Amino acid sequence: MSAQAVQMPSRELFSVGDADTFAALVKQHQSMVFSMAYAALRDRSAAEEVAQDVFLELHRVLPALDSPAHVVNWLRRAAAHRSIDRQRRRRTWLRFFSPSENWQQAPEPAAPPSRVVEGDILLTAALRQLIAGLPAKPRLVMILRYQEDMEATEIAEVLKMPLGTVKSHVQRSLKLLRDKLARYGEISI
Amino acid sequence: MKHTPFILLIAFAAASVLPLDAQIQFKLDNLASKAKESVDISLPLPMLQLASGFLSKDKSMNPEIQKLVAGLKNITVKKYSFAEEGQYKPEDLQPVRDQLRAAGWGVLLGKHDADGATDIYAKSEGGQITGIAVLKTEPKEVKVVYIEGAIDLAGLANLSGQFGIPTLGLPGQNSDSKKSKGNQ
Amino acid sequence: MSKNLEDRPLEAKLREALQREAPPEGFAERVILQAKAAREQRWESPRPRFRLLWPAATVVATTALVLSISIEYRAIREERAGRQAIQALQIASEELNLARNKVLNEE
Repeated sequence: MSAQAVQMPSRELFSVGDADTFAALVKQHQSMVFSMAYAALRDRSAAEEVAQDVFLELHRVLPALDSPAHVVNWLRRAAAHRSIDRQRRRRTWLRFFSPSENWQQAPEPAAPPSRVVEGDILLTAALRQLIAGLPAKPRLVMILRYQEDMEATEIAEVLKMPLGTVKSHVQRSLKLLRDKLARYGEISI
Repeated sequence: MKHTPFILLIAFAAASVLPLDAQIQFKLDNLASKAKESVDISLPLPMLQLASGFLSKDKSMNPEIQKLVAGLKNITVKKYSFAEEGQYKPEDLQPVRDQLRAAGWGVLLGKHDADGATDIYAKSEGGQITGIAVLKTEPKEVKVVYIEGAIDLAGLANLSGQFGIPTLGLPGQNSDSKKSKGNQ
Repeated sequence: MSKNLEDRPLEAKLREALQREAPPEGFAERVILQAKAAREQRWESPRPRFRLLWPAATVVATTALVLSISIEYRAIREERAGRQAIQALQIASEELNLARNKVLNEE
């Protein structure tokens, strides 16, 4: 992770008026923040809204962040929590009209009933959809693990979650994905 | 009181123009001036209390409507229909979006496609939705719906079908047992 | 992270599937502009609320005066407000149902 690419001014020198630093941070981390939100929400305009909110919040708190690594961790945590909030609000809305999500209701993959084989681009689409269908916290754990390539301890720190819970989410999610994919025929991955 | 008519005039004009809870301003005069038809309803709390008075006195009125209105603090509805496409810009609604976000409203839904856009914002307190705003743009129409207060979403959705307003025949409407096909 | 050998290929596929996506064109520029506007608004925000307080207080006082003077005038206003409320809720209901239908059809 290129957290060192942008030199952070010292706390004494940095002010909210340092537009250049903020602009550089946005350009450097926009892909990370947007991708996290998009993987969680699978809705580009919702992800853009969330990402925008994250950066506007960063703009407010930036004087309190004192290193590039601190900024990256803060961004990940903010993106994770805002995506959860957004999903929760949407669920509140949908609760009036449809059943709530749970572990067993992760959607079937969009792939057709034919066999899903290694290298098939449909597998990629199916995996994305299955991840998007996981409950909020396991979904974020999986995104941080496999999109951001973070270790369990880092994920536990960002999400303020016990390490055991992080590992459990990964194990259960992997099992669920395997089970769901297996229903489409022989799995060769 | 010789000044009464003047005071009446000011009060009536002011009540129509300045909602008491003036946090979100819907200054869409540029859309209104170009629209061939418009609906412009602004009902702050005092007006909603008057509305409740009327609804409670009408024995033929469905009590569900009265219950819906009773919990509300503000309803604003703006609907502008245009003769031709291209008579407004989607950015004309940006000041409303900016105000909603600045006031802490979160986006529940944002659907944008070739036919237009639907953005739904919500405000919640203690797990309850206390505000809903729908901003919808189509090629020849703009709609803004803003409701604040204790909102019964299911009750509001079920309003279609009352008073001869045809239901939209949507899945799950007026039915708790139907499961949405989208959540399998 | 997974110690299960069976999971390794699946984990590799997950990494492939969850590649980062670029945000929409112009995202960074829009955010930077919004941050600038938000900073300027933070300095100005106390005044609008204060400006609205006095006319809002005037409306309360004069509306109360009007209502106490004419019961008939009140009845006319009640009916107007009631009909507007019904119309507004009808439009709101329709729009919420349409939006909900869009969401459910795409879930």
